[in-house]
Amino acid sequence: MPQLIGYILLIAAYIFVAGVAMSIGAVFGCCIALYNYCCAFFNNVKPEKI
Amino acid sequence: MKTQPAIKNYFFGKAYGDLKNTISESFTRNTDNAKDFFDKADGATLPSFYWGLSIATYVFGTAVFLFCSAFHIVFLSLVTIIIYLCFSFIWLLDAGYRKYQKIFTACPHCYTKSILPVYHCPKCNAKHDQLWAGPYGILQRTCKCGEKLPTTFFNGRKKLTASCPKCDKSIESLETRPIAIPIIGAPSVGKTFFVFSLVWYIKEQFARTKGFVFKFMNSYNENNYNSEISILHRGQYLRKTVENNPIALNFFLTKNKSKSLFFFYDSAGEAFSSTQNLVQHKFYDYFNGLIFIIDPFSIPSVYAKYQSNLSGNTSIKPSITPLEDVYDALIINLEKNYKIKTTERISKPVAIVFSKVDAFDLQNIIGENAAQKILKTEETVKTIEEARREVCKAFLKNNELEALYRKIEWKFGNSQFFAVNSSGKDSIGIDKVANWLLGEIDKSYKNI
Ligand SMILES: Nc1nc2c(ncn2[C@@H]2O[C@H](COP(=O)(O)OP(=O)(O)O)[C@@H](O)[C@H]2O)c(=O)[nH]1
Ligand SMILES: [Mg+2]
Ligand SMILES: [Zn+2]
Ligand SMILES: [Zn+2]
Repeated sequence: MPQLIGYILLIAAYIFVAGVAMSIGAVFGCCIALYNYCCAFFNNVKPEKI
Repeated sequence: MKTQPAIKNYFFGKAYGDLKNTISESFTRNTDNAKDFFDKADGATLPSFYWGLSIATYVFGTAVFLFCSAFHIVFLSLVTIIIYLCFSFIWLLDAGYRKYQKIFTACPHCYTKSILPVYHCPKCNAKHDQLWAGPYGILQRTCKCGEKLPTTFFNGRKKLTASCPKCDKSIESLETRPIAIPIIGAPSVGKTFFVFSLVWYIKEQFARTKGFVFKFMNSYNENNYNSEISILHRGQYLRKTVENNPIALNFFLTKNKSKSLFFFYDSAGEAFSSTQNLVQHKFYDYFNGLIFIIDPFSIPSVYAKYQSNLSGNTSIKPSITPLEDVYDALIINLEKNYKIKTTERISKPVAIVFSKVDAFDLQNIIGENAAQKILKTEETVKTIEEARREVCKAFLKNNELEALYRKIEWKFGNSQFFAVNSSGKDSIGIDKVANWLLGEIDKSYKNI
């Protein structure tokens, strides 16, 4: 019985760690993409020069 | 819209190139970042960490990229639509104003009709042939040289230097409603005498008594008028008109909001000797009224009657072209070149004017004296206008021209007969022609 609980806890811990990692990954990915879009935007969007 | 020498409004030009570049650049940046992380995993102590970053950049980065691009596209379209609506509104306002005020451009040199003249940039002289609200700008546009040009009737467009789109000659109409009046008649019927006497009347009496401001369009017109009218007042002969295609005699007549630019076309009478010559007279496409001048002495029986007296009088200069020829040339020209059907009447006002009535006893035959007499004696004649028509009709009838009278009466649905002597300030009957014709052209000129 205690063994089963140990397993469950272990799995829960795995899931938790994976979730946290995923979230951090998501935030990181989003931030990078947002930063990239902003850079691209300011590099390209300019009024026409005379 | 045709290409203009101007910079397109950002949202109608560069914005879409910028959008495309932004999207592709941000996507490459994302993939480059992801690749970098993937490469760093090689030989790292914790490769799975970099793999994770790489995958996260790919997956979430692409999601954010898609979202940002979509937002960018939607935002851009929205702004474009708003600007499109704005310029459509201003375009409509500008076009509607011109339509309502009957404003268009008529070239005094080549007679070409256009919506607007070609406007020139004050700085670099670039030609803007469609200077109205559009993708180049709503209220103003930026010329290629950087100069800002107004694009509507209410912010100064008309003050720019303008030229004719067809012949490049200068246009000084200031976006004013044109009133085009061709003068028709054979050589020597008295067209030139009549026109200058008419302008004298409009300038010195009509405008003054009715509160209009009279102004020549340019110094060419003013000098021309001044020299001719002073010759006329000295009792000398005007030089013969040689131009088949005359430069219009132009002046502005302004009162409060009503402003018109008159165009009198006094061609050499020879122009009416064949319809071929009239092809170039494009003003028959947009004329507001006609003045048809008849020299009584061009009628053979009248000439025969006064022949002995005429030979001693050099100032009358009888015209030798038959009346019907001029009438036919005019009508054939209208039917051939302006799609007026043979069975169609011309509804614009036409003044049929007998000239030289000061000569001999004509005043008592077709002049005001005769009309007054008929008005008093004939029961059926109610108004002086009818009386004038009656005496002229009788005159034509007595001289074997009843057929022509019938043709004229039928073809010109709104015509009136007059008898005048044209000699500048001492003219007779010119005032009646002017008051009737201008009143028919626009009610603001009617007797107040
Ligand atoms: N008596 C008299 N002669 C006129 C009158 N109008 C024109 N003329 C004469 O007719 C001639 C031709 O006139 P003009 O206006 O040059 O004719 P156009 O060829 O039709 O332009 C002039 O030389 C004048 O002598 C008029 O009202 N009365
Ligand atoms: Mg003439
Ligand atoms: Zn022109
Ligand atoms: Zn310019």
